[in-house]
Amino acid sequence: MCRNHARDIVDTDKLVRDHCDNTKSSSDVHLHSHRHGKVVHKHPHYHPPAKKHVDAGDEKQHQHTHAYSFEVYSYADSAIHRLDARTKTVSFVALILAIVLTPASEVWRFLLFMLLIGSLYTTSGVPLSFGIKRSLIIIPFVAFAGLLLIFMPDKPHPSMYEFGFASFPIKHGGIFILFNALIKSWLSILTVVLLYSTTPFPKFIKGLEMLRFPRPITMLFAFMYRFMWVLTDEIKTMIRARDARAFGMKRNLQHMRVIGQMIGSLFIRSYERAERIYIAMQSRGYSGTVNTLDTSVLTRQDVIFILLFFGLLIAILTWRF
Amino acid sequence: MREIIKARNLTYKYPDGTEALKGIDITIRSGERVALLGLNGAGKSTLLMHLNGTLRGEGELEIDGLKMNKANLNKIRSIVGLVFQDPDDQLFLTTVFDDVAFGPINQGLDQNKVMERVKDALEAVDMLWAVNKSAHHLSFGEKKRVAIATVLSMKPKILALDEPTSNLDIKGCKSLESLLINLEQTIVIATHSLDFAWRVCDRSVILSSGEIIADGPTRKVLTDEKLLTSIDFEIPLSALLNKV
Repeated sequence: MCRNHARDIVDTDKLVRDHCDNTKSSSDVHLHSHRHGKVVHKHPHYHPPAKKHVDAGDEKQHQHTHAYSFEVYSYADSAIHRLDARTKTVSFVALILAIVLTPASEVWRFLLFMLLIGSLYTTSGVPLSFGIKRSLIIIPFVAFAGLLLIFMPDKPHPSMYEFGFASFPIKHGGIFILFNALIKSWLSILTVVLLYSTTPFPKFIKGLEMLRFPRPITMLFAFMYRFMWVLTDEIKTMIRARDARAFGMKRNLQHMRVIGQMIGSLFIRSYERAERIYIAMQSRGYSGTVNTLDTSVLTRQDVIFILLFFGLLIAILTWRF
Repeated sequence: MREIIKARNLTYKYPDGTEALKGIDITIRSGERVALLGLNGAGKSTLLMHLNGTLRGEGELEIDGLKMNKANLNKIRSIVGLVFQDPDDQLFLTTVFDDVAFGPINQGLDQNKVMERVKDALEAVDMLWAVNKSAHHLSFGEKKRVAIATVLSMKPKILALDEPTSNLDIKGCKSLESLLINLEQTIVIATHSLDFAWRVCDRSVILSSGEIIADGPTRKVLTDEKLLTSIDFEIPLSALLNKV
């Protein structure tokens, strides 16, 4: 059974659809939906004939997980998700630049940025709570650096804040710098979370390549993405092997030594795997550059989005009362 | 039939001094399905690695009429498709499509041709549905099939597989078996599984400590009890059952 979907017109999708049309095979292309928590995802989906669906009303549902937790929303569907990876990358990087370039004193501009980011989240269907939860990771770093600034002596207008038993010199400029760092980094991270929650990582990398990003760096990203979990699995195996034999081991110096040895052997394993991968690459004609086909095309929606988005950014940056 | 692989007195020493191959003489004709059998460390994988020039030992080796040397290396690598034991080594790009297209692109084919090759290769292993997936979203058996597709897409004349059945479940083995039997290429398989060799290969070569100790039709070699027990092998169950 083949049901076509005119969405996500990437050539590779067409490959499967054509295959279905031509062979009338049992390979199944259909609109598919599954849940992550409360969010329902719908996207074109392919199946080997052997895997069966459980029908749930009109929409077919079945168990399906995305391997990485950061990808939970990447494969959902929305106007933002449907945009080309390049469009999103360029727009969102521009947004981050705009945020960073805004003077901290003009707080209302940040409110506008917040509004913009909020509406992007709403359009994309990625829950804002997910973005906020993910973005909190940046706070300790910035807060730690910023807190030191607060207590630096403030020459022109030293002012003391009294907390009952003690008094601290707190620099007004310092608080300002802390606010500056916090708001900018937080909004930037919210934007980054939005970018990776609306763009599957392989498409993001392909987008970077098509934007003429240096190949070695995109390859580094690609390898990281591909082998992150392979390595994690190897670590898990090693930890299991250790735990199977290390019962009763105390958390002392000896324990530290075991961890050190594990890190060492993980390094050797990765090194050897890298060598095997290199041989596999050479066997398929690798000669110094990794070439992949460009598969996505910019649509009218992309152009409209970019024009609107940059217009908005310029408006927020230059508007005066 | 044409001689497609010809090795004369092939020897190889690993950098640590281990002699892995001690004078291998073998001729494989076009279209043959050959099993390289032997215990761990017998030299099966080492011999396989020689076929596409990953390892280069002493002695003569000719692939499809081309002498193994630096000048011919790239040509030979598009003639011999090597499938590694661990599919996680073979699939190193972010999507199945990119991995399968990697070889054809490196062969300098244009986009349409590459798409066609990818389609054909993935159809052959019945994995076209996974074309946009990432390798880490696939099961081990599925990864193994895609790994074979990455090589099939280069249209190699020779397919060399290193331990294709290791870690594969029964279902995976069966589908791999039917896939290999239906391919037209010359196939060289290094394996421990005598049963797999019995079912897939028409010729079996037994290696022991870097030397060929038996070479002949699978039906004959794998029923030679004296020979098999002398190197701690057993007659494959498939052979015993077929006899009944």
